[in-house]
Amino acid sequence: MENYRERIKRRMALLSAWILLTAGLGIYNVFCTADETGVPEIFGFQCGLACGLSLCALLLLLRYGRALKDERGLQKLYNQEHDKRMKAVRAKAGVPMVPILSFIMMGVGMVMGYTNSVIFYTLTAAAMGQLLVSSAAKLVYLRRM
Amino acid sequence: MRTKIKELRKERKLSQEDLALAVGTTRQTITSIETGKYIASLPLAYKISHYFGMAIEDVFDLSEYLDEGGV
Repeated sequence: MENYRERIKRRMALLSAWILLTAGLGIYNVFCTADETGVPEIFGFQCGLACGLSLCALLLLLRYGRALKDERGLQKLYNQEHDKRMKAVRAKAGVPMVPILSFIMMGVGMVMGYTNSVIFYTLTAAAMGQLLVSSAAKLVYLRRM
Repeated sequence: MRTKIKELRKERKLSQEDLALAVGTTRQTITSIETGKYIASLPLAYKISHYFGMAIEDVFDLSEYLDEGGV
């Protein structure tokens, strides 16, 4: 369990770094850049995505912080992550490959969007669709299993 | 699969969460096993049976599977 505690602490450090980086970039964007930054819709999407991920990181950070406070909470978190049933549900929902592929598609879409915005919209919509289907499958299998 | 986990838990006044923590799984998995939605893996079935001090076949009703396999 001590190894797991260390792993959680490392994860918390990474999540904190991500939140600080996003906040720093946000502040830099507000005070130090010109109003016109690239393609407005892509820039807006990037900002929204970064804020959303930071919010998720913050929630995870709170969850990890609470789990680290007592041994029972840490054990529950460990069991949740290593539970065979949850692993089976995640595998049926395509986790982790579907989210990884979706993020790659969104990344490529954001880069290619600077030359052709249709590619950006298409790849982003496809990635969102994949994530939605994966989430729905996860919910269905959580109820069935 | 039918199991006696619920009865054994009630006898010992154990909550699903206490049992889950003791055998290294989640409360939701214990619920699923009790309601027959999920079949426990062999290591988990062993841990649960060992926790109650019983044999696997005394906690889990394997008759339907043994009949299917022609054993």
